[in-house]
Amino acid sequence: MSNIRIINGHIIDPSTNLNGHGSIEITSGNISFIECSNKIYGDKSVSDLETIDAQGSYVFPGFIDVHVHFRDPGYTYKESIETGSRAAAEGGYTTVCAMPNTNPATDNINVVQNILSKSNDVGLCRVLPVGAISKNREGKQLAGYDGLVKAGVRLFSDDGSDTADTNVLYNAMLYLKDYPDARTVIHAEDSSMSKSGAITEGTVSREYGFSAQSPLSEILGTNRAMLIAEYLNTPVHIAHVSLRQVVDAIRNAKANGQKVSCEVTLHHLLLTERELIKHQSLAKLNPPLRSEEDRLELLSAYAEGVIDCLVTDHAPHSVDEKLLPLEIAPAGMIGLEVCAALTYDKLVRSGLVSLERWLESLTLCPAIFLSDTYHGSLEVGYAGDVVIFNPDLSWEIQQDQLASKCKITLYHGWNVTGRVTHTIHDGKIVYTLQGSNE
Amino acid sequence: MTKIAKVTKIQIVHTSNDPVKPRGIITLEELSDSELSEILIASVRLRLLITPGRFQTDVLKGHSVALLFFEASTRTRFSFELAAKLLGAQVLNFSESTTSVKKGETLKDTAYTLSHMGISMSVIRHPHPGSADEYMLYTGRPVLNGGDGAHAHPTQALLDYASIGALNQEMLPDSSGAVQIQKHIAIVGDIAHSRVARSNLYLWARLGHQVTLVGPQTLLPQPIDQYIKEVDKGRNLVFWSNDLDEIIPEVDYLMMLRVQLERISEPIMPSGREYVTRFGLNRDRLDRLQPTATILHPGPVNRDVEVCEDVYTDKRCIINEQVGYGTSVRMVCLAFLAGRLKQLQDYIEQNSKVVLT
Repeated sequence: MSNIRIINGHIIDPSTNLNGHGSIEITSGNISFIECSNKIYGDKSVSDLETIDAQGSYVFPGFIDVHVHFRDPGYTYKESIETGSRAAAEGGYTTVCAMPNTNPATDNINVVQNILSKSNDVGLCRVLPVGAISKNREGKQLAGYDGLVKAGVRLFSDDGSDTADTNVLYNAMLYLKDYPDARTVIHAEDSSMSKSGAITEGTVSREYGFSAQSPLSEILGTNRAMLIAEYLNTPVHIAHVSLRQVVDAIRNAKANGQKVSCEVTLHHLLLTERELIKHQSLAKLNPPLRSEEDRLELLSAYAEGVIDCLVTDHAPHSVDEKLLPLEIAPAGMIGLEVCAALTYDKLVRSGLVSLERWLESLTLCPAIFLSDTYHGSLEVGYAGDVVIFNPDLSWEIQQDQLASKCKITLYHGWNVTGRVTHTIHDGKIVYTLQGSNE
Repeated sequence: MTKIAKVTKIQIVHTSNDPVKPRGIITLEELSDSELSEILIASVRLRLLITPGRFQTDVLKGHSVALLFFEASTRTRFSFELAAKLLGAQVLNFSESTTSVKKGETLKDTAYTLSHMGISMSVIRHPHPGSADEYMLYTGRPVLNGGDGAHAHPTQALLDYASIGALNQEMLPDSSGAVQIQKHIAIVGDIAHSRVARSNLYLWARLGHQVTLVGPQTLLPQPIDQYIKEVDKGRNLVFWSNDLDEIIPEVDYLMMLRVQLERISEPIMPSGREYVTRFGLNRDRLDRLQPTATILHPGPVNRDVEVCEDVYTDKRCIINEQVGYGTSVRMVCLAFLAGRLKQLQDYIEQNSKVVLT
């Protein structure tokens, strides 16, 4: 574990309201000293530290993504904990929550320990396994919870699909009330309304005659989960919201004091159903890309903070799979390497979202959601998880250079300005952009 | 056009078949303070007199008791049968599969049938809550509830309480319903589906003891805070917890309920193993239970599920004693319902002196 000093950077942290020039020291894996806007926190180290000059760059808390798929165990031809962690480090993420649709599913302590030990060995990023709600994610019986919570699991989800049987979901949420830090994450989808799930019922599906997923599928799934949570007076988190009606429902629930949180993917903030015409299966997501009206509504809800967290839903598949015809290709796109750069450029730089809101959605909000008081903030004593982001660096996204095993993305060839240059995890430099100042 | 006749109200003619509610023990709420006291004290004393081969009275001579078990049972059924026979009553056994119930006879008609045969009283066990009460309405004779669904099992609560009352007489209520000492009992397990839990909760709280219901949310009546409010009735005696480890050092009595393994296939519990981890009485928890505490279990036991093997050899465990009190409690209850408790008390009085001399 190296000791690091970051100097000359513009430090911003929504949690502590730091915003100014200064330096940060990380020793023994933790933040030990911060100097920002002439204010000093902690003790300056007297020994020699490895120094990174962050002149012209931002210094942020390491990003947290509460929704990724690392496919490990079971589908390591798509991604593994190692390649996924590398993609995370490249994108500035120091904590990711790995969804349980692995094989075997993350429904018992053995799989959890396997993921924790693998990711610990890789050491590039903290990987928090998300426990399944139901055994084998089949929606019939409750998965194991007690041992998982004791091993540090905070989130439970059947992500990839919804827990179709309402009684199963109800009992899971009821049972999990015994664990105040545990959260149920809902992949809101009434599968009876989903069809192939490739494309939303909308302008494009009507024009081309696609068998389309009704927006009602996600609307019903969201409202069902929120009604159960409200009845049980328990928190609930709605994953990857994609529709204006869903955002409205969550906004109203929040206004009524309900403990509901949610997330949006970069894809749903940046893209619409029209991408399917050009990119076919590459643009296939679940929930599907929606209309421009939906996208704009998501954007304003995100800017206001009704949507708490920004996620990638990093969902790698093999190139062969993503080249299958739209209706049979698997849903999902990668995003870890490019999310911060794309959203900074398209949303923050363009003035649609404030820098603080954007940063909060990547750090403080997910940390609060995870009841985590050791990550997501630049504070003395917190984990040495820091990202350095150069807002003026222009680059072109090249799919063959991605760290993920999935070397295909519709963002290939996009020009963006802003890029992660360094990622520090637990006081260790886990990623440095080649050619950047060390 | 057809003329529609005006429907007139049908006049109900009263016959001997009409519901006349007699005395019964459907729940313990029906017993007055003095009756409860008499029954418990008589049960504790009577237990000492029941020795195989040496006990027989004719307190219930001339009476017949029908045992109507619509649900499987070992302890309850045998102890009721034994109780009735030891008191000199005729016993009629009944099993659903070999009677007219199989042909579709309703509970009401079964009740009429038995009452016209001249049965003195019935003991009924039925999977449906409220059926004991319904049965009594039609039979017109005393009924003892041997367990109706998850509603009530009054003789089980009485025998549990008699077992601990025998060990500590300060726990036995006097005729005003007062006990000399207030204790804390935890009832652990599937509270939501347990008639044993409901009857014990009622009895212990009625006598002023603190009762903590322990189990995962999915095995507690919901919403649990509302249920606590409803059963506590402002006495500040009834609580709930999802943490057995936190509760265990504090309790004087620990009642472990049977895990209804057949329910685990329902989406109500993650697994038997997780249940054992959270709520099983294992070695570690036994060690943290007060040395003066008492462990109860209504049976039948799933060994190594709700209790580990060590519990059987633990001096604080009274699982087998509970079964013994099952017979005496049921004898007292049958005599009580036949209006012959006085005779039984006299018998106990006379024979206890013999034992003492």
